[in-house]
Amino acid sequence: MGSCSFDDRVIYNIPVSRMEDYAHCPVVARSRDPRELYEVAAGKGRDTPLAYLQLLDARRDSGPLTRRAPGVPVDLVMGDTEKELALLYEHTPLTARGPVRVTVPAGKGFAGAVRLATSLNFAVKVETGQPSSALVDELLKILDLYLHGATVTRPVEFFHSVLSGLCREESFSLWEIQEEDPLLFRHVHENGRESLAGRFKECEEAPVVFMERFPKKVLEERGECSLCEYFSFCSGYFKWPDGDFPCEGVKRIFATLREAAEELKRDLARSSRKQHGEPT
Amino acid sequence: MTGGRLSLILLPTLRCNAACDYCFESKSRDRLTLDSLKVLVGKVLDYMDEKEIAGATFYWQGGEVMTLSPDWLLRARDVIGELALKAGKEVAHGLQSNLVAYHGGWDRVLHEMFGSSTGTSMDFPNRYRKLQSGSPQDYERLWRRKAKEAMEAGVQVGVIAVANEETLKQGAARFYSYFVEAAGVADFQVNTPFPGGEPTDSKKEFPLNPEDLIRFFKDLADIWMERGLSRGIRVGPLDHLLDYFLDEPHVMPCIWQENCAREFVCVDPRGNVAQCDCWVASYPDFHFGNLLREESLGKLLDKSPVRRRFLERPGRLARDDVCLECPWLGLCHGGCPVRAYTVHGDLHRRDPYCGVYCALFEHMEQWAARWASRRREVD
Repeated sequence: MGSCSFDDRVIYNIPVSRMEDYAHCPVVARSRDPRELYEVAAGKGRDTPLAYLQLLDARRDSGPLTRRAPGVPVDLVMGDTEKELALLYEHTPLTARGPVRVTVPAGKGFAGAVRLATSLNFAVKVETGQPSSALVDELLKILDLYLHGATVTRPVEFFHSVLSGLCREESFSLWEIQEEDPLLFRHVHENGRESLAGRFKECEEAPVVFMERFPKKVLEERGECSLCEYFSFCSGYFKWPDGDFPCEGVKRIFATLREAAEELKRDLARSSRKQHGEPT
Repeated sequence: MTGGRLSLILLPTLRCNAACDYCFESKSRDRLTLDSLKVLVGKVLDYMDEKEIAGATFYWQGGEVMTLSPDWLLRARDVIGELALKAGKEVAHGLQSNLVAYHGGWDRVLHEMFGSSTGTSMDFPNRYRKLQSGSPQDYERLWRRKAKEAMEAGVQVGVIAVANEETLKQGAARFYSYFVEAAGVADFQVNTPFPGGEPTDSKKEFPLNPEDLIRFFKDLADIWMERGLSRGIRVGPLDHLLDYFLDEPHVMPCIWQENCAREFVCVDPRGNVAQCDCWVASYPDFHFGNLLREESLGKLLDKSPVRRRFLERPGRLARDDVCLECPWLGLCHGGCPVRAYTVHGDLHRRDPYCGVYCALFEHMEQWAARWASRRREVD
């Protein structure tokens, strides 16, 4: 076995140079070079399947990945969304071989990138960070597109999984949806150091310690969280790095999703009653 | 064109037995020889191998294909079949013909090579389609007779109808009745006209008035939904949109594909390669290259700066035009490049029928919702 502290619940986001070390672990293989990712996908000798390939540079020609093994998902990470927007069309052939998601950092021009990505039938994950009120307004517009857009057929995260969780009344976690749950996702640096995933990757804290400590801390220190109706799935997700981040905007997003979930549940119940010949 | 299916528009001849006023092609007597066909097809099959494409459809258009002989077509089919078999590829064929030269001698070709179906063209009312001599009415009478004979021979005939000002004046009800009730056609598609090729007086009326065209399309949709759909009548592009909004399997017409430059390519009898038949015969500046001269189709496509402009078009429209704000971007992607170019003189402009498309999308989305609701009631 390689150097990973194997835990079959954990997915490791690793640079392609570390593939051998993680041959027995579920991994996301990341690189700026599509050829390297193609070779990873074509490589033999893995005990566990690749979770997905992560292409870190949307300006690169993703042509080599159009020939990857069928079914292997690709996550295309955008950098400067305004400059890279038009390039999304160049990556559409990737969908012929398997699912493709575009990860969009919420910043200037991100809403346009999300609009275009959904128009091209890419799934989308928005990295929200701690959104300003202007960004919340943009996120609400995107949420409206996701909920009501006639041409949107693919998930936009985190909206999709939160809506699904609220609809099914199941327990779910925003940290997991955003692939930042320290107990489920790890980032492996070029030098081999393992850390928390996503925006927490520069934290020095051990993952287990972080996840035990952080929600307790925000509950104890932030009255807002202790009274918040969304804490069950949010667990203070938006209270990092700035613990004083005001959540009013984020709550508007959650409230819209909850309203949509209630509407959906009512529709499903009505449809079910109709199927059983009951009055609607 | 990786992994999916290759669509090749093949013009085996630029000769035509008609002289339609609004045609966008510059005609010539050029025709493909079987030797040249072998070279072209060999390079197409090599390209399919390179891109791991298992199958192709060759769409035979002209000029007019039926100015060639049935025997030549059958030999061409055999040449392609043998080469494809050796290459381990599957090739199917589709035909677009004006049917003017159709006779029983074509039946074997139509049944064996083209799966007992053909596309053809007629407008209502016919103002621009003519033979080399004679009136539009003469042409229409001849076409009606030939289409009927082909249908009686077991050939499924689909019609492309190009709308004109008179179409809009006479209205959707008469238009629909002409094709479905008078001509007995169960599958037709309405195309919007554009002033491609050499300027003529007829082309001055293009593009059509958008308000009139919107009203026409909406009326046609209403008539088709109420009278035609349940009888199995297909009316493009309305049927494609209905399927799309009902989440049924669908193939969008070329004008609304995500990027037509990734979906198909066209070759003329001289080996010229361009985006489609609208470009290859009249716009030499827009040729991607010549497949008889170039070593491979892959290299020709990859190094063509013209094709790069086509590839970049939808992305540029999303970035620079208003398309990004449009709720229908995912359906339209800026529309057809040749309509944009021939109206605005600029490839990187939106399709001039943008407003018409938006209204049509909205109308068909509403129809799909009503139709789905009706289906639920019945279930």
